[in-house]
Amino acid sequence: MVCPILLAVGFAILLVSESTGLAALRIVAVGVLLAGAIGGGVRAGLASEPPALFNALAARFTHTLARVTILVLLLPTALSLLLALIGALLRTDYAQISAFWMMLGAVIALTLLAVLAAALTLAGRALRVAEKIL
Amino acid sequence: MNPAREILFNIDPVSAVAIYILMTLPVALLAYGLARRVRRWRMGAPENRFERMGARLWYLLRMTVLHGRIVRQRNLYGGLMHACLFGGFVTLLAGTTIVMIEADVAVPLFGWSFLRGDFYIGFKLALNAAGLLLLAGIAMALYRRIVMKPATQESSPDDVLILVWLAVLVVQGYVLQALRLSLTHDPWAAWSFVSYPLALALRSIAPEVLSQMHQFTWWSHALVAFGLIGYAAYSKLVHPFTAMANVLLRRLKPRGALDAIENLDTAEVIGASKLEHFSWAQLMSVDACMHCGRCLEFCPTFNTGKALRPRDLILSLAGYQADQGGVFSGVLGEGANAGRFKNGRGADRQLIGGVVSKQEIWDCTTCGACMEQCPVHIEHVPMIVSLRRNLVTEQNSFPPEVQPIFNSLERLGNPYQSVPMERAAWTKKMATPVAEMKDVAANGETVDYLFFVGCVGSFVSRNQKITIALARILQAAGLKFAILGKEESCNGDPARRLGHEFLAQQLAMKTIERMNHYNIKKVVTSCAHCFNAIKNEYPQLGGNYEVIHHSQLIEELIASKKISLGEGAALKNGKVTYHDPCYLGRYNQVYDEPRGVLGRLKGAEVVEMPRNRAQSFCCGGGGGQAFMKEQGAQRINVTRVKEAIATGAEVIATSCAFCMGMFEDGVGASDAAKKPRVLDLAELVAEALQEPADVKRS
Repeated sequence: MVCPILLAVGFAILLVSESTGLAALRIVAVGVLLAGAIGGGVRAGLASEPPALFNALAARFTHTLARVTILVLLLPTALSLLLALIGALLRTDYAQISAFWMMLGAVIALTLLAVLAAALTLAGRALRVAEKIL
Repeated sequence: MNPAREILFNIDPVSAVAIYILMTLPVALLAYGLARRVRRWRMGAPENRFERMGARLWYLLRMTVLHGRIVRQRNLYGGLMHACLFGGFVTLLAGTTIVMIEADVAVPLFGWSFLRGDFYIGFKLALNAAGLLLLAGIAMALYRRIVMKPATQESSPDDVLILVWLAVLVVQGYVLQALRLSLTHDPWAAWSFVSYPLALALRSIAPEVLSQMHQFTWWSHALVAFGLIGYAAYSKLVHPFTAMANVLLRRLKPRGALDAIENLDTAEVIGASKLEHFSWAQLMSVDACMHCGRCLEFCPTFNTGKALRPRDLILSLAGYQADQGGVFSGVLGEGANAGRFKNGRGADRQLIGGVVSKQEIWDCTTCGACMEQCPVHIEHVPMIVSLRRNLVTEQNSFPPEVQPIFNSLERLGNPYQSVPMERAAWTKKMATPVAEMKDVAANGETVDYLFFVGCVGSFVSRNQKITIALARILQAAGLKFAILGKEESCNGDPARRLGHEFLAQQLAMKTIERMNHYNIKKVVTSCAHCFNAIKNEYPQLGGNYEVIHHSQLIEELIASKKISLGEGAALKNGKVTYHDPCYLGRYNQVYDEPRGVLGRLKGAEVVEMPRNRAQSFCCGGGGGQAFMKEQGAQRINVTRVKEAIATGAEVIATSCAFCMGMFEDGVGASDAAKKPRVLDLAELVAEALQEPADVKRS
C-alpha cells in the first residue's frame, strides 16, 4: 500500500510545484514518484507468480508490441527527416502547408511503404513455397 | 551573449508534468522485471560473493569502463563495436542526466546554471559525437549480424529490434535538436555538427509547423526512451544490469578450484538436478549471458561438432529459469533465441535430460576456454560438474567406460587398475636411487621437495620416461627430494571432474593425510592436473602446500645456473611448438616459464600455434575425457595435432601427463607425411643436460 501512496504524494507535489512555480519541489516530486515506481515494481516482482493467462499473453505479444510501438513512434522522426531531405534538395517553401497535412502525407507515404514491404515479403514466401512444391 | 539553452523549450507545462508521471510506468516495469529475475536467483543455494567489495568494485570499473575482457586482440571487431555502443550510450545518458540536474536541481535549488558558456559548447559537441559513436556501433552490430554472420553467433529478431530501437532514439535526438535549432536560430548551432545541417534544411518550413513538429518529436522521443527502459528487463538489454552484477559478484576463488561439497555424508542432494540446487550466484550468471558466442570460439566440443555448446547450455538454463519464473524473468516469445529452447520448452521439464542433455554434460573437457573468454565471467565448468555430480551420485548414471575407472580408483588408488606396489617401479631405472618419504622420515631427515609423481607418471610407460627425466634434472641440480612411493594415490582430480565427489574427497584426504604426516611444505609435480588439484583444491580440505609445476622449477633451476644445458639431440636445429595444458595455463596462468625453458634450449626454434596461451585449444583429455570414448567423427586431439603440424614443428612440447597421451594418440591417428615427436619439457631438458648421465637408460 506504501507504493501507491508514494505515487499519489509524488503526483500531488508535482502539481503543487508546477502550479505555484516552486520549481525546487520538482526534484522532490520526481524522487517520491521514482521511489513509488521502483518500490511498487520490486514488491510486485518479488511477490507470487502472475496469473498464467497473463504470462501466456505477455509471452506471445511482448515482442510484437515492442516492434509495433517502435514503428509507430518512428513516424514523426521519419517525417522530419523526409521533410528536411526534400527541403535541402528542392529548397521547397513549406510555409503554406499545415502540419496536419504534412503528418497525414507522411503517414500515407509510410503506410504505402509498409504495404509494399509486406507484399514483397509475401511474394518471397510464395516463391519459396513454390520452389518446394516444384 | 553567453551560450546557453532553454530547457524544456517549446514544451507546455502540462506536457512537462505528464512526462514525469509517465516516467513512472517504464521505471516500474523495469523494477518489476529485474525483481522477477532476483526472485528466481533467490531460490538458489547460499554462497558468499560479497567479500572484498573494494577489489570487486575496482575490477568492475576496469571491465566496464575500460572494456577489459570485451576488447581483445582476437575479438577486435566485436570489442570495438561494443566500445562504440557503450561509449555512445553512456555519454548520451550522462548528457540527459546533466540536463536533468541543471533543470531540476542546480537552478531551482541553488539558482546556479552551469549548462552555459564553454561547458555548454563542449556539451553540444560531445553529445553530437556520442550519437555518432552509438550509430557507428549499431551499424557495426547490424553488419555483423546480417552480413558477417560469424559461426559463433546466433541472431534473434530481439537483437535486431534493440539495435533499431537505439538507432531510432539517436536519430530522434538529432532531429529534435535540429528542430529546436531551426526554431531558435541558435547562434552556436554549428557546434551541434550533426544536427546543424539538418536544421538548415528545415529552416524553409514555417515556424508554427516546426513548433508542432518539435512537440510531436519531443513526445515520440520520450516515449521511445521510456519504451526502451520498460522493455530492458525483458530483453537482451537487461545485460547492463545482470552482466555488471555478475562481474561485480564473480567468484574470487582460484579458477582451477571446484568447490568441494561440505558435509558430504549429510547433504540432502549431491550436485544439481533442479535449478534450486545451483547457487544463487550461478542462477544469476545464466541471466547475464548475452549470447555473444565468445565461449564457443576456443571450445573443443563446439569446434569438433559435439553436442555441447557452452553458450546454448547457459541459454537453456536461462530459458528454463524464465519458464519457471514466468515471462517476466527472461526473454520468451517469438523473439527468443533458439539456443534457449534447444531441448524443448516448458516449466515441467527435468533439468537433466529435459533442459540439458546427458551427452552435453559428458562432452565437456573442463578446459575452461569458455570461462576464459566469457566477457561477463560466467563459469560454465562448475555448473557442468554439478550436473555430473548429480548424475553420478544420485542417479548412478555415467558412461559405461567410466565404471572401471571409478572401481580402480576406489580399490587401487589409481585409474589404471595397476597394483599400488608398482607405483615406484620406475625408480629401478634410475642410477641414483630416489628416496621415499617413509625412509626419509625414518632417518629423521627432511627434503626440499616432495615429488608428487601422479598416476600417469607412475604407471604409464610413456610417461615414466618423463618422470625419470624430471628426477634426473632434480638430482643434477642437487635438490633434496623424495616421493611418496607406495603411499601415493590418485590426487582425486579425475574423480572430481567426472562428478564422483565422494571418491574425489576420499582420495584427496588420503593424500593430504600422508603429506601432513610427513610435514611436507613444498611439492613439485610433472602433471598439470596434479599441480592444479594440490595447489588449488587441497586447501579446501586442509592441505596447504607450496606447489610448483616442473616447468616452473626447471626454469628456476636454469636461471639460477643450478643446471646447465648443452645441445639436445631432439632439437638439433629443429622447430618446436609448445602446447599450453589447460590446467597449467588457463587455470593457473603459467605461460611464460615453459616457453622460457624452451627458449634456453640450444638449437631450438620455438614456433607458436595460432591458438596459444589463454586461447589455447584443449588436447581433449581433461574432465575425465582421457578415460572416455569421444563422441562424433572429429576428434579433439587430432584437431589440435593438425594445428601443431601446420606450424612445421618437428617436436610438440607439452608439460602435462594427460596432454602427452592425447598427443601421442593424435599423432598416431594423423595422416601427416612427417609426424612430429611429442616430448615433455622435462625430457627435452634432461636430454640437453650437461651433467654426466646418472640414469640407466631403459
